[in-house]
Amino acid sequence: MGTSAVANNAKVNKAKLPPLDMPFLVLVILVLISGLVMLFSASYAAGLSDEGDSMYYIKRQLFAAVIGVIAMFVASRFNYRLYRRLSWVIAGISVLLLIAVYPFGVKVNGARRWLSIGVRFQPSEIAKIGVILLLAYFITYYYDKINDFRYGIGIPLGSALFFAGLVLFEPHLSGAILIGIIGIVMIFVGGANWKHLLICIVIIALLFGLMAVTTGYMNSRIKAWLDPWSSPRDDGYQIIQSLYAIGSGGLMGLGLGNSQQKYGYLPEAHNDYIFSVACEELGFIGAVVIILLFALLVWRGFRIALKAEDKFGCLICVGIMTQVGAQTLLNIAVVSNAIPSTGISLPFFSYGGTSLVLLLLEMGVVLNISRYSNTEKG
Amino acid sequence: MGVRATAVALIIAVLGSVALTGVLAKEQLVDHEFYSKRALEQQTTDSAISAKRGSILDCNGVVLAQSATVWDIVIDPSAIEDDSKRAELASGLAEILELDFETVYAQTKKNNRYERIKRRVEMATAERVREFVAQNKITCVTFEENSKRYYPYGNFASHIIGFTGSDNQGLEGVEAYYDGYLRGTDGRVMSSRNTLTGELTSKYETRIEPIDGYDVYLTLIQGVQNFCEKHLKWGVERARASEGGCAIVMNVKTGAVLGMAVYPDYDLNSPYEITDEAVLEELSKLEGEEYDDLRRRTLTAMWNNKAVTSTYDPGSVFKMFTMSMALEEGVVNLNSTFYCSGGVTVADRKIGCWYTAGHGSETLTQILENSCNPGFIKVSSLLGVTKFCEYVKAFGFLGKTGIDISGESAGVFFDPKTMGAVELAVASFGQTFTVSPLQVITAICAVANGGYLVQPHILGKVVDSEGKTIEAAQTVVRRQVISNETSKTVCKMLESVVTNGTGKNAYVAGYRVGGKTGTSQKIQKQNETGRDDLRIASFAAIAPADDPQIAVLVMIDEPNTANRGGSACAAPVVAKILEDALPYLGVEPSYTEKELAKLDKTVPDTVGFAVSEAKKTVTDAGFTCKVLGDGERVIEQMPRYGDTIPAKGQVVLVTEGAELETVKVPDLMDMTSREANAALTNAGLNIRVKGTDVGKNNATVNSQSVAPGTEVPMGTVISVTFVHYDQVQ
Repeated sequence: MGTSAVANNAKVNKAKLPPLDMPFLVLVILVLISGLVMLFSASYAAGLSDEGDSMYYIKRQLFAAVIGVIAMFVASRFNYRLYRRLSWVIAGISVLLLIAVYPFGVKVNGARRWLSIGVRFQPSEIAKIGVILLLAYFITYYYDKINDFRYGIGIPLGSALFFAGLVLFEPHLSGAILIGIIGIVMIFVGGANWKHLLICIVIIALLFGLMAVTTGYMNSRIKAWLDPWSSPRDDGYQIIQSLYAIGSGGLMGLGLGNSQQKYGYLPEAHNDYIFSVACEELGFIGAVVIILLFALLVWRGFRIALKAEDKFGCLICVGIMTQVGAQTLLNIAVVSNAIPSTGISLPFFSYGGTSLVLLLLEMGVVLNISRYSNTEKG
Repeated sequence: MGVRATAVALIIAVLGSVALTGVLAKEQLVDHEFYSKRALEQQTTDSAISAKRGSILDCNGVVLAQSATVWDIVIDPSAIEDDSKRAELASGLAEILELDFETVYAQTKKNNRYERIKRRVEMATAERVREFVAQNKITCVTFEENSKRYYPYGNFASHIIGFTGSDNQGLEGVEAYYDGYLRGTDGRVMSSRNTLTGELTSKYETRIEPIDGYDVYLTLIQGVQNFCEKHLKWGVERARASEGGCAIVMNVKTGAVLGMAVYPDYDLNSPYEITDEAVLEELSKLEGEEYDDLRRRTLTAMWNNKAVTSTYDPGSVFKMFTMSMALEEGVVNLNSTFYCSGGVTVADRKIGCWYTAGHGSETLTQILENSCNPGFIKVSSLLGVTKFCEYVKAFGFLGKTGIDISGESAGVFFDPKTMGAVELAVASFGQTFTVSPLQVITAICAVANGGYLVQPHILGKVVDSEGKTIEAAQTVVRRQVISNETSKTVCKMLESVVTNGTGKNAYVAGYRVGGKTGTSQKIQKQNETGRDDLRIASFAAIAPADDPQIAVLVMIDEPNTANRGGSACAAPVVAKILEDALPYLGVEPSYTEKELAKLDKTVPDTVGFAVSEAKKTVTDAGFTCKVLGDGERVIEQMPRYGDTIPAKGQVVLVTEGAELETVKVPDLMDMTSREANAALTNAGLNIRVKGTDVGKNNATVNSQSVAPGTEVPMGTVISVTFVHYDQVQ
């Protein structure tokens, strides 16, 4: 892999692009549509009460979806190899944005996670892309020294933790965790010494655990997780309401649009807790179908990674699909109270314009990589 | 690298998904019932529409207890935007509802959706809150309909009526006993609640209309109850009785309770308020559990209807029953004679008569008149244990009367198998066993009404909200205990007790009253306290003795006066109740000439006196007075000094500058004594009754001293002669 390959493909690009992975595209579209339908239902009551328009949220989200689909289309045609050069730039910009959050960020619920430049967005979303590109770059760049701890693990893990740290102190715990997971998975898949990596993970986990028990913020969340009914009016409120929603769905659900919990009982019904509404309305069957869609999407994404023409494309693909997969798992685990609450959104479902646009853009990148798949591989 | 990526993909897409599916399966399938039930509870409001509680009325429809709509003021603290709104709301509510600002403010800050600010706010106040809410565009206040019980007469008949609790449930008295009739059935509205917009999603709403409670009419007569209460209070205070007392008036034929007073009473509108100052002082020294305990005990005692729930030794009142049994069994007759030497020895035990000097030789009637213990010991020995016990049972002393009042007691009697001669002797005059006042008066009714033991009751009828009678009380005769003849004989003897014997204090001019005194020792309490002077003074009466209509029982608990007997403490109370209640119930008085002479009084001299002084002199003498003109001194009076006129007659006082007015004499021919009295009184004249037949029922006016139509000075005494035409008919 080298500059010649890039030039070679650029030529091909100008001619006729190879076909993209159709099953993956179909899955993306299916997940996107399901997400939009659920958002419409879940945000109906909140829209009416917050903004006086029950279509408020869905209109914005639909707009973002259109932009996102265009972005996906464009990205699917933009040769991913060019990101190798852009990775420093994008990573640099995302670091700047992350730092900018501290003085200029918009404070929501006590945390500075948002920047407002015309549009309001979370720099941590961009940071995820930045980390993915930067790590893919580092891992491929130092591939010949991969067994050297400094190059194989030290540099990529250090930069991932640098990003995660910036996000962590916004504070945005779930964002930091997600970046950490993406980083570790990419380093692991990239071929680093797994024993060394495991030791690092253990150390990070220990430090993280120490932090969890020493800060009151996390302590109360863990308490609410273990026994939400001990504080049903404050810390446990949200999780209890979420469980009510999930539990009352039963096997078949109350029917699309019939959630009762979204009427002011379940906070953030159109955001982090949208999956609870889906469970209430569509039942266990609906929930399993959604999980299945995500699983297939992730599976297909990894398949694309395995068949990627080069290691750089493979790692980008792994990073993006890890992001989607991990975020989905974490979100569902949170709303079903399998893990303590961290405030993490469900990809394609939760309300959030920039997030959706960026996600679709990433899907476009994966699709682009799928164009150059090596069918003999995987 | 391929292996590693596949591993990650497996972990995320398969392992993670399966694990989460498992978690969801548990929550959605296994715990579905649990969660959906709780979710539904919070999502739906199931608000009750209170049924209007029925009223309680006396037998003439006078309302004694009534419910009115009031409002509970409730707020939703979570719907208030900020602290300034909270302060505004709290200060407004605190001012209108007369609450403490800090308390209300704290409620507005609570982290929930439902805070009740004040219960049972009356309509006018609730309207002010509504205005305040509307003016300030407050949306978090809701008004929940509730109802409040009002007792228009406060302490009146408190032990009968009882009161309700915070949820309008009957707690005491008729309110509790007939709660089922009064309460009605609450309606419900079930709807899903939308906390975002506050709207109710109507498609889920189900409405069940409430059914209003029934009105309960009692047998109680407001007037009679009033007399009972007024005179009982007088009697208790006069006797300085430490444990109060009770008075019952019953219709002898139906067992309907016409009046039932217990003193001390309490205010039904604030039943938890202790008014006894001694208790209050003691309470102020206590705290915690001791405080609660004393308070609870005091309240329980205060609410206790001792006429029904307490038991006591009936004492000599019981002699009328011993007498009835003996006459019925024929072991004695009116010609039987007895001898009282002041005591008698029964099975080696000496039992004294209350009159230690001894009554000497007595007739059967005299042993009742004298309340002679040896006489009754003899009578009971003639009856024997078995018969005596049979009658005790037949008179209803071994079981509850079955009255429709909660907590009835039945007392304790001997086991006939172990009852010996001594026990029989003592029991014959009502000692060493206990009964309730209600059992006694129920048995008296049987003695008076021809021998029928009826079931006493307080319920007259039950009427629904549309006026339809649901249930009407009927006289329940349980059995005939004694014959009609025995009943008549005993009534006559009882009258004799009042006329000639120990019951003289119960004498009421114009009425034939029969009765029996009772003085019993509070043996149990005496044993506990080591005192020997604790008594219960009682008196039981029937009237009129020749055709009994009502029975009265008055019990004064622990008098502290020198004479603690029934004759001294209870009989005068009975007399006062009868004197008021009999005319009120429409029983015509029929005075004997002797009585009338006693009733006439001499008019005092007031000429030359200052008006105020003259007025006082006249009223003190027992007359009413009418003043003509507005001078300072009396210059003339009518009737004149020394004339005799009936008590309560009118004396006209003429002051300086005024003249004695004249009035026309009405035609009194064929009027009854009551009618004639009323006609003359209305005309401003006085009556003097004459004629030998005047004491009989149905006597009418035969002649009058001044011809009808004649103009005479106001206050003139008109003599009226009555004749009784019985012999003609």
